[in-house]
Amino acid sequence: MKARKVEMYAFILPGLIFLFLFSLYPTLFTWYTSFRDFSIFSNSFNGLRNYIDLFKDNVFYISLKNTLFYVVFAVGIEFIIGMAIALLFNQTFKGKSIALIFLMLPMIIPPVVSALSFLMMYDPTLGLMNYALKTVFHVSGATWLTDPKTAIWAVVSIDIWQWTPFVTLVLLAGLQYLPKETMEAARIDGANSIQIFFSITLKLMKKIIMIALLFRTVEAFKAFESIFITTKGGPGYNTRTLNIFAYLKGFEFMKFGEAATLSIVMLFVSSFLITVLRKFFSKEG
Amino acid sequence: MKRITILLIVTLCVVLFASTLAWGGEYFYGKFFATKDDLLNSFKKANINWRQFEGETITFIGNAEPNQESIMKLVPVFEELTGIKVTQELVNEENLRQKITVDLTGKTGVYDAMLIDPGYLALYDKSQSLDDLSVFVNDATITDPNWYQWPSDFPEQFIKMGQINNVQYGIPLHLSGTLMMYRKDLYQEKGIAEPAKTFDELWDHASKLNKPDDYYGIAMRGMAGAGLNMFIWTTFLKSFGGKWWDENWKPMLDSPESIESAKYYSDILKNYGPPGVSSWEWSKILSGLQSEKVAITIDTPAFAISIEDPKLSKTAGKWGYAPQPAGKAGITMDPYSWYVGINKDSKHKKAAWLFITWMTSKEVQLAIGGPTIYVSRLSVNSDPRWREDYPWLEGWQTALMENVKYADPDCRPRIPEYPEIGNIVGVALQEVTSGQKNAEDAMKEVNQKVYEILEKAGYYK
Repeated sequence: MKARKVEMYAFILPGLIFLFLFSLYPTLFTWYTSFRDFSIFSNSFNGLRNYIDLFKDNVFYISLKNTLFYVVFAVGIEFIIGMAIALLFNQTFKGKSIALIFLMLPMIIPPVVSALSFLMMYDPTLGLMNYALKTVFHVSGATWLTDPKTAIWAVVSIDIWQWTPFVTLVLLAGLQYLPKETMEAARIDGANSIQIFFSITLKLMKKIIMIALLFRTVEAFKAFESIFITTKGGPGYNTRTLNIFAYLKGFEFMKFGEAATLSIVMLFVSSFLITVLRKFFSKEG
Repeated sequence: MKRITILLIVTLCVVLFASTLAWGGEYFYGKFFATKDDLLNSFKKANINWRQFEGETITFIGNAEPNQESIMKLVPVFEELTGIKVTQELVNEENLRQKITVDLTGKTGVYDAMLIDPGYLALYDKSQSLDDLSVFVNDATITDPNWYQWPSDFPEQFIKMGQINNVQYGIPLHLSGTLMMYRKDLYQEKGIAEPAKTFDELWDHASKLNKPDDYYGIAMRGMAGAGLNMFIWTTFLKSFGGKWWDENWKPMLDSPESIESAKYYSDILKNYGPPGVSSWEWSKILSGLQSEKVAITIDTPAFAISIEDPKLSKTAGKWGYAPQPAGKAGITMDPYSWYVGINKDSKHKKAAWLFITWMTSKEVQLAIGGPTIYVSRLSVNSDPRWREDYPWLEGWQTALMENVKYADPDCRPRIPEYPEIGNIVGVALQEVTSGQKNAEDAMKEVNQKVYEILEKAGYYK
């Protein structure tokens, strides 16, 4: 028996080592670092100073607000559009499989490339966006990335363009496994399509919707390329998210302690978001 | 079938081999050295024993940019000359800063010689990780003063930028910074006789040259960043009589002069610059200059080689160059150069020093292209032999050498906290340029933040 136990542990040991080295140790080290004044030439314990400074810094609150804005609108709109497209693709029509391939394209483009392409398209003088607006609709465009009113929407749009297909794909998979009998029964009872969608489809899809939203929330929370490449967080602080702020603190200001503190706070914020999401979806009814 | 495949492979090999020969080209060893031996022998003028460290290996890390890459292609010449083997690593700027910082402050001694961003010198000084180069310069066994001509052949302000507290940590590799560039043809068209000497004139010229349907009066870096809008605006700050802080480190960014400079910089861009200029960084400006969209700019003189090349630029041959406008406190240039230095933890310091003297020698600077690749030596820069190939060079050199006289090594302060300070002040300036805040509020607010950063770093103890 004992030999068997040793054998068992021997088998899970590689997994454990991997987890410890690449997941547990870095997390613990980040916790440890977050209580230290840790930069290139200082490394000393400074208690809660990093946390206090962070919560006193108005840039933190601006970044938090921007992050939440980004997550809520990017994921929200992706869900609405994604659902609409998934419903469309749940029907049968000619050329569906080819259309599906084209739909998936944005997702397989590396985020860096899509951000660079959008950067060019948003250019006020040479970009496609304003050119199209001018020639097709005869309206003058905007300075998308530098106008404080449009900048955050411009970066959120990149996320929406890129990740709506993902939401579509997950939801479509869910739609295809819905029981046909329930729908038919409802239809016989006289329910119209809208009623069926809201009272049956959405309810049955709850788990799958939650999965799609969870994945997207986590990803949108740590969005980086779409923002860093196009605006670097500007103009001013208009598109600076927590992730960009942490990058700046760690890699440009070389303040590793403060960056760790911010990362820990980000961990809590994202856990909070996910808990809210799960609570919302696990309610009965 | 098999024979055809073999034939194809052989042909391909021949073509590839031939193309490497073609790439070697006639100018591979520069305009003044016909063959490798010519270049090699030119070093024999130096009265030192080049082969005294034969058999040693040194590791060098540099920046993957044209100047550096051209030098690295010549490394076999150095290896043949000295018998020292050079292991080289070229990476991009950001990567370079991180790698060096980690190596120097962690005292790992991986790199013997390295390229250093002068903005980080203070940091390396604080961690005591670079060697004082004056020891090597004054050692007659490894430096021939008549051949190396230090310091007389290097611009004074650039030498100073390689020092912290009078200790020479680096030898300048480049001669670059900021310069005013303007479209001569448009100036003539509008009857403007000469480039702006003051900021009032600059404003006047930008307004006259602004025809938004065709081109914009002026474009300068608007994107926030310690090396983006800060690179240009700080020259305005200093010229307007503003400063970062007083002698007790009390931030002075809320002084009337500082506020005025931020206001002027933003207003001139808002009024006569392209739309969205607050997200422009150097590449946007360069393409604006090349595509006839911009009439005046203040940016790096390194643009010249790209805007004067008819293959790359519609505006080749139309550019004039001039020193920057003077404000209340005169002209200010923000100098820019990378520096080569020696790791204090290196085990091959003297061999590394030979490599540095070779790298920054007149011969190498001539071989890689002289002033067209912004090298640091005065004698190479003023060498008239380049002018027949590049007609714009004379005007550019004259303006640049005049502007260099006003170079301020601390235009962007060389303190370890600068990256963070540069970032927040850059953001504040961008807030003004993009119209979110007025200059006064933005500068007052950021002044307080700069104070907090300095306080935290222990400047007021």
